[in-house]
Amino acid sequence: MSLVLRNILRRCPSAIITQSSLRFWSSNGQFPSHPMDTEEYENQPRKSITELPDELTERGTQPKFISGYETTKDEWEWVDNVLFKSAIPEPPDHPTPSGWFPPNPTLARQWPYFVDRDRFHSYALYVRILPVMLEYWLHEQHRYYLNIFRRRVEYDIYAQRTRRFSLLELISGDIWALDNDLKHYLTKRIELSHDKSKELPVLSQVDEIKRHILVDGEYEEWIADFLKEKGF
Amino acid sequence: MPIERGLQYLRQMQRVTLKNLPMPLEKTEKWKREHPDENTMKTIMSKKGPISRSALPPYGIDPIQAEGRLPWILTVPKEPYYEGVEEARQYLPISLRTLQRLIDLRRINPARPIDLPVLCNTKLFSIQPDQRQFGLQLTDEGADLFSTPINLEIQWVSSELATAAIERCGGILTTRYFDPVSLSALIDAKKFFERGEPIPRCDTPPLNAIEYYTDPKQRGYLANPDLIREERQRLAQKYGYKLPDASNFSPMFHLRKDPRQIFFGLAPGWLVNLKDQTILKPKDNKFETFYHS
Repeated sequence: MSLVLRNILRRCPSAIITQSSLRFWSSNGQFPSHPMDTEEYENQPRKSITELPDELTERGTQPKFISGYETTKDEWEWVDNVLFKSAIPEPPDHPTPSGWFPPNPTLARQWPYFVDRDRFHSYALYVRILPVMLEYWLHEQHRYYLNIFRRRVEYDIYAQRTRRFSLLELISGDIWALDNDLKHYLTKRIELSHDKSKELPVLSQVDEIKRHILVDGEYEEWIADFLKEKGF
Repeated sequence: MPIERGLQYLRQMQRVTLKNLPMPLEKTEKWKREHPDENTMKTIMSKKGPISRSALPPYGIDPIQAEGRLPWILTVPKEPYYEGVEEARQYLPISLRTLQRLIDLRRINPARPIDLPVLCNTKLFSIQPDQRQFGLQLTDEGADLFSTPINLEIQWVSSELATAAIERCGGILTTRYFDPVSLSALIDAKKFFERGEPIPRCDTPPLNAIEYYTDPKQRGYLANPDLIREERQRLAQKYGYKLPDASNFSPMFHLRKDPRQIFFGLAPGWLVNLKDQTILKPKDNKFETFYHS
């Protein structure tokens, strides 16, 4: 509808519009897109079910044959086996063949910090792949928001390395002391391993509000060993 | 009799409203108007220009925004080695390490047969049947750690090492095909039972999968059990371990599913009533022949 007509309509009182024989508005296309919400459709007279023969009903086939049935409770244990149960079972007290260790509270009490486990009794250690601002040139910076919501980029072209972090969550107590100890441990491990891809110094970010530490690089196995040594 | 049909609707439908009944609807006048045909379009559309002369540029060229950008058809390179990726079946990986971890933390009971619904109830996997995902596959990682005998039913195994790792501890492995309809019942069994549909029967695998599931080397469910026993001996000799005796096992280990059966212990065609905790089984012979053919 044109702007002129729209403004005219806004200023006319609605009584004139409904009474007038002229119709200012019309559908955009030549045929209606869907008849569903029109008045004529909703208020049409409906035929009673007794008048219609079988061929004209929409749902085609009627069930022509229904058999008898019997009810049993015998196989209910197999159904129970398959249903989802939200209860998380208690873990064992001993170390297991898959490499899982229970926490050691006597050893963990001596440190000024504490790292809790998640509800499935594993370490709260995760990998994070953060997005990178793809273009740094001035004339492309207005497209910053577009690039941020695209797929996350693993490789940082300008820094020439993968941009992966290890995240350690659920920390309570003195986070800075834990950060210090963690960095010492990781630098010692790097020196022992003589791995050229791992750079010194180890960089980390501490967030006191979210109770997490973000370490630059993929150090998950070593951080897990560190937590095992401390008894968390 | 039409009255009986009305009574049938009342019996079978959960809710009967004016909007619910299958009625043919009269076409209102606005609806009756015809779709424009070729002749009317010809009178309306212009006779000049690139559209009428079938000379439009390739898709992605926009004189205002593009400014030197390649059209969309040229930005994506042609990589013919990915041919057939839209039709390929996908299986989500589960490693022996995760299996062992789940058994250790008591989230899975190794005394009972380990099946796809049991593994999906741990909520570690989100299988989407409409994305051409057909189940789970077993991977190598953690073959050294694995040390519990289990009766495992998985959808795909690609490496011999994984089968050897399970059979060395005294376990049994079978590979099993599920079609998308039965897969949606297995992934979320509680949701399926709440729908109130009878348990579906599993179809035979497609042509390019029959070779895999009749192969004793992959422990397919359609393979000859004698050949499977031979292959177990062969694998034991190859990887250098002794197969433990089959007589010591509990009856749970020898449980296998019928090719048409989806759940252990429940036959296709049955209806499960969650509220009263009962199972409804049809009595007639026709249903048995259909569901067990």
